[in-house]
Formats: sequence, C-alpha cells, structure tokens
Amino acid sequence: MEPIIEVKNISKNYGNIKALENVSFSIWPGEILGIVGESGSGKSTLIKCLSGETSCCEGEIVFYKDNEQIYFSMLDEGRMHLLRKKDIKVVYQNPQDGLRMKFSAGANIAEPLLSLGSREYSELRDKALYWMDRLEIGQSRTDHIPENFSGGMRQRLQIARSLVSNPKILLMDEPTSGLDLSVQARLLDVIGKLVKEINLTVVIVTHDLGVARILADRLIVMKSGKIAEHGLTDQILDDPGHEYTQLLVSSVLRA
Amino acid sequence: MYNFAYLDENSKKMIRQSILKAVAIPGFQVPFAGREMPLPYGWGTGGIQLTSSIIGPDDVLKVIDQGSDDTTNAVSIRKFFKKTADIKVTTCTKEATIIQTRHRIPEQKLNENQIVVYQVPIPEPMQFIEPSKEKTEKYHALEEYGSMYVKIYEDIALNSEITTAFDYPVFVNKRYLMSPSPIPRYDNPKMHMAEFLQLFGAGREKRIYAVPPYTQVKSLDFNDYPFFVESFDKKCEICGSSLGFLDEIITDDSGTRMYVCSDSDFCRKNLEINNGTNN
Amino acid sequence: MYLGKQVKNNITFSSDLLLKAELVCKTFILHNQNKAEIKAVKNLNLSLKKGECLVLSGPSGAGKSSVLKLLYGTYRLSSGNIFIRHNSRILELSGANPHEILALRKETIGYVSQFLDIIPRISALDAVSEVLLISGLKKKDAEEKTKEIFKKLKLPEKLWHLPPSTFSGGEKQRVNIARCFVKDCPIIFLDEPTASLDRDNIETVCSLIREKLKKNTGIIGIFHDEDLKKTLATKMVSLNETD
Repeated sequence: MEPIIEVKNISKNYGNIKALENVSFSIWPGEILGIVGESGSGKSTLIKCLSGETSCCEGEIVFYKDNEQIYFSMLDEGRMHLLRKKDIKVVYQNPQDGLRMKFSAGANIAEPLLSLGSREYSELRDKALYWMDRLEIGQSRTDHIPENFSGGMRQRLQIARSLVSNPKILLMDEPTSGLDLSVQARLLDVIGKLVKEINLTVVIVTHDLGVARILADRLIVMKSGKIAEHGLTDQILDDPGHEYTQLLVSSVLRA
Repeated sequence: MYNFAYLDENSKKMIRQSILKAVAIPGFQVPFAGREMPLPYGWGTGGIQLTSSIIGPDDVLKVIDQGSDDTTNAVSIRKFFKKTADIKVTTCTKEATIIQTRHRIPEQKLNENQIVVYQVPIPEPMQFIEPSKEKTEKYHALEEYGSMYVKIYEDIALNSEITTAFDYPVFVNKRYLMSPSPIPRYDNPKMHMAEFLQLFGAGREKRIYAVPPYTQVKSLDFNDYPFFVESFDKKCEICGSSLGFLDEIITDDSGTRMYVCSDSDFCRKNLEINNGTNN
Repeated sequence: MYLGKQVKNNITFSSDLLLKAELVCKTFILHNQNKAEIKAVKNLNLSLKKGECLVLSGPSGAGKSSVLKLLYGTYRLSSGNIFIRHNSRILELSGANPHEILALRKETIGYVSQFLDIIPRISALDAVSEVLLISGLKKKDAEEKTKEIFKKLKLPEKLWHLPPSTFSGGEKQRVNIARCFVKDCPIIFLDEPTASLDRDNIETVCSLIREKLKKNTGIIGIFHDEDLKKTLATKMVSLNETD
C-alpha cells in the first residue's frame, strides 16, 4: 500500500524559532492520524505545511494522487491553490476562519463547488440540503447565516463545506476545542461516522488525548517541533515509551 | 492658461500607458497615478482624466449623466472640456467621437470610430464580499471567482431570482471578472462584441480598465437561472417609445409617476421621427 | 524504545497452531520517576492451538492483562517474539508495521477488554453492527446478527438504540462481549469478561465461548471466577510475581 502523503525531513523556522525540526512521517489512505502535543509543539505549523498554506524551509512533502507524485516544493501558487480547492481541505480551530459568516449556510457549502466551476443552481441547492442533513445541522437552517449558529453547528458547517468537494484528505486543527463536552461528543460522533462512510483520510491535531483515543488509529506525539514518539493510538496511550509522552499521558484521567 | 484638455503632457503619457496596458488585458484593473483634478472624488475625476488623455483637437465630445445631456454634471464637464480644449461638443450620439458617461450606455448603436469613457465609483466587483484588496488581487490572479458566484447563489436563495439591478458583474474575454460600472443590467448586452472601444476610469480608487472592440463580455449567471434584462410595459410619455431604458419620475406627493426615456438624445430623435411622420 | 526484529522464515509452525510467544519480556521504564524499571512480564512462553481455551492465572499484579496487551500489540515487546497466524501468513508482532497490526485486529483477533472505547453517542446497535459492516456485511444483515447476540446476552431491547455510555457496568460489558463475539475470527482474547455479570449472564457467556471453541477458535482468557476457569480451560498458564 502506498502512502497518500509522505513528509520527508521538513523544517520550518520563524526567524530564530524552530517551529518544526526534521519531521518525517507518512500518512496512509483511509486512516485517521492524530497529532498530539501541547501548545508550541509545532502541531499547527505542521498542518499549515501539510495544507500548503506555508512552505517548508527544508525538506519535502509528497502527495500521491492517482499514480502521480506531486512535490509541494515544485508547485507554483496556482497549482497549489487548485490542490487546496479540491483535494486537501482544512477545518480550522476557529470556524470563523473557514466560513463566510454573513452568507447563508447553503452558500457556504456551495462555494467550493462554485469555485470548481459548478453552474447549476438546483444541483448546488440539493447538495447544500444534503450536507446540512448529513452533518446534523438540519435542512431548515440552510438559508440561515452561521453568525447565528452555536459553536458546534459552526464547526459542523465548516466540515460540510470542506467535504463537499470530495477531498482526498481532511486536516483538522483542534476541531473540538472551545466546545462544550456534550457538543464535542456529538462532533466526534459525526466525524467518526463520516470517515468510515466516505473512506476519507483525516489528520486531526488535538491536545485532547481523549479525542485522540476515540478517533485516531495512529498517533504522532510532538514536542518542541520534533516527533517525540509515534505508533498506534493504544500503543502510545497505554505503553508510552518516550519521557514526554509518559508525562502527557499520565495527566489524562481515563473514563 | 491651461494645457490642452487640462492635464500636462507627461500625465497624459502616463495615463495613455495605463490605457494601453488595460486594453491589452481586457477587464484587468490597471493602477494609475491619478492626478489632482479641479473637482472632488465621486464626481467623475477618473472619467475626466481618461478623456483628457485621449482627446484631440478634431474630436467631438458628448457627456451624459444617467443618459441625460442636461444634468448639472454633464453640463459642467462638457463646459470644462470646451474651455480647456476648445473642441466641438455635441448632444447628438451619432456625431460624437468620445462619449463620457455616468451610469448608462446610449441606446444608439455605436461604431468603430467611437470611444465610450465610463465613470466608475468602485472598480472592484468583489468589493463588498471581500474588502481586502490583497485578497481580491489574489483572486483575480488565480481566476478564483467562487465568492462572486456565492453572492449570486444567495440572491437566488433569498429572492428566487438574481435581483442585481445595476453594476451587474461580467466576465470579460473569458478571463477577468469586471464591474461594468453602475449601468443598469439592461445595458450589459451592449458591451458584448461591441464595435466601439470601452474605457473605464475610477479616480478615487485610481484604477483604469478597458474592453477592446469585439471582446466577449458575459454577464454572470447560472445555467438554470440565465441572465435576463428588464422589460418595460410602459411607453415614454414624451416620445412614445417603449424600446429604450425608461426612467421612472415621481411627479407629485401622492405618488403619481411618469416614465420617460433615460437617454435624452434617443428621446429627442424619436420625437423628430414622430413629428416627421406626422407632418 | 523497542526496535523491530527481522521475521524468521524458518520457524516451525504446525497447521493447528494459531499463536506462539517465545521468551517474551516487557519492562516499563518510567522516565519521570527517576527512570524506575518495572518488569511486568519476564521470559513468557506460550502457544495457542485451534479450539484451545488457554487461561492465564496468577495473583493480581502478576501481569495477566499485560500478557494480553502484549499479544494484542498494545504493549510493545522489550524482547522476545510473538508469532501469530494471520490469513495465510505468520506475522511477527515486533517487526509488523502499524497497518499490519490494525489488519490483524480487524480480521484475526477479537478482544474483550475491560473498557469500551467507542464514539460517545453511537447506539449499542450501531457500535456492534459496525464491526460487521467493516467486514463487508450489508446493514440489514449486520443489524439482524447484532440483535440475535443481544438477545442471547439478554440485553434489554430498550437499550439497543441508546448509547452505551449511559449503561451500567454489566450492560457495557455485554456490549463489549457482543462486539467481539458477533464476528468470526480465529483468535479471541478475553480480559475478565464476566466481572460485572450476574450468574445467568455468566452462563450465557460460557456457552458463547464453548460455541466458539467448537468452531476451532483459539481463546486466551483471564477469569476471576474459579469455577469458570475450571470449566472452560483446556490449558492453564500461571504467572506469579517472579515469572
């Protein structure tokens, strides 16, 4: 089996700060990969590099798509933009960063398709209604604006918006942070079910190990811009080898 | 006194260079170093700078504002060029070689020897969807116009049809999204494969753009919600025509309204024809 | 950190052997407690044949659960080898990549642990039937089979469409058991599967286990109930403190 993305020795500096240092790993099709670590560990920078939002200072990211090998460093802005429009989608921690707050939910869901050239209003409308249902926001809210939605609903709308273009990989940056526990549960529910049904590849960045345990197949533990440890979720959480992982895990209470 | 047509020759040269660039890239907004003009922003400084840069001693100038030669602004601008360039001015569309206009395209079909100079308040069609210039410039560069279509989708979702009445966004030469200036949607089809050169000037925003003759100009729509123009079931009270764009004028406090041709030259010509046949 | 070992291709693995552990050791190094070392398992040898029920016995803290976790791949080996028959190959656990282990767990090994780790608001019916959906069954058939086993385990029908997070310990355990027993896999690990069940249900679980053994499934189990141990075990491996 070939990976869907290969990260080869990437580094990213912001001035003197080494946000990422010699990070290498693979992402396999259909898996849910969790990236855990505390604030400042480099998780968000990693998402930015994986989504093409930022370029790496060193190293290479390779995207395997339909027998093609796409090297991020060789992509011009136009081609990268195309990739981000269709195949690699990001769900931001703050839904406002990924939505048009003053446009209706339906419009938000329609936009990626419009951006890709769809010109049939009725088709767009049908898709919008479908995804509103799928993400359990409710078709009746299709013409309402997300400014009036709760945090959990906004987040689910963001997810609907990212899935509508049928992407190959979904990157989620702390999707449950800031949400009430019951709302988090519902979101995890929805994500878990969807991923299985569509056979999506998901990378989920989180500082919440409980979320990681429930959703992720594999985990990567980040500390200070480096990978401290990686393995299957239960391996990392029940048999942490690295000093930092042990510290992280010992502070989590098991339900 | 004044240099010919007010602006100094170097300024004209700079503006002509911007015009050339604009004509070479139809629909693309070219920034230019707008000069200080003897009237404030919002009164047609962009259009005036364009006219000033292209006008020559043999040109015949017509100036209209919302279709009319008689409004204050049209009259003032016409006087301005008469004074600074001493060129022939006219209200007859057929006679003019340069037509500076605010908010309308004349009804009369124009030819290859004529240039229309549009006054533009806001050159960026996505201004109200994405206020950041940095972002809109990127969108134009990447041909990323999803957000504009989102606005149209929203219009249909809320109103069951595209309700944009003026400044209806167009797609020029299959490449750039452009604001045609606040002309009514009725006028949009006139821009498509037109015989005349179209120049657009925004003085406050300092942008020039152009549509060269015989260029494709398509109004944005959906396949199942195609673009359509307004139709009138009324006639002009003055000339009796129902062919041109009609203005609605409220004549008293109880709401009585009358409809007249927006294009005053068109109306005049119709009257002449009617009087001719009646005689 | 344990480094992967080369798979030996010339080990003897008779056709009725499902699993073999050789000289398995697991030492935990607690970095944050002055690098204290805890030897959980030392030089463990065991083998599991088709139709066998191997019971791990020993006092509390002897490492019984740890053995199951090692065999399941949750704990990484400090040294030694674990060979498991997976589809038509022999897989060596320490050298296996994460996807091979995930495939192993999906197709070959069923595990009833003490915890129920599932998405919080999924219904009991969905939680169990999804196991069958993953292996390719149609939704209707998967749900039918699930309901059958729920009935056997006497899980009240009113609970079927509710999320197990609200269930009692015994009810949760029955869902756990259902999740494992509803699918057909050659090896099953049971970690105290009857701890929260009443007499009646323990009988049911017993018969479910026997059914599986008849089908040549190999089972390794930890039971606290002495009677259960005696009735089910075809083999005992005892771990004591120093083993």
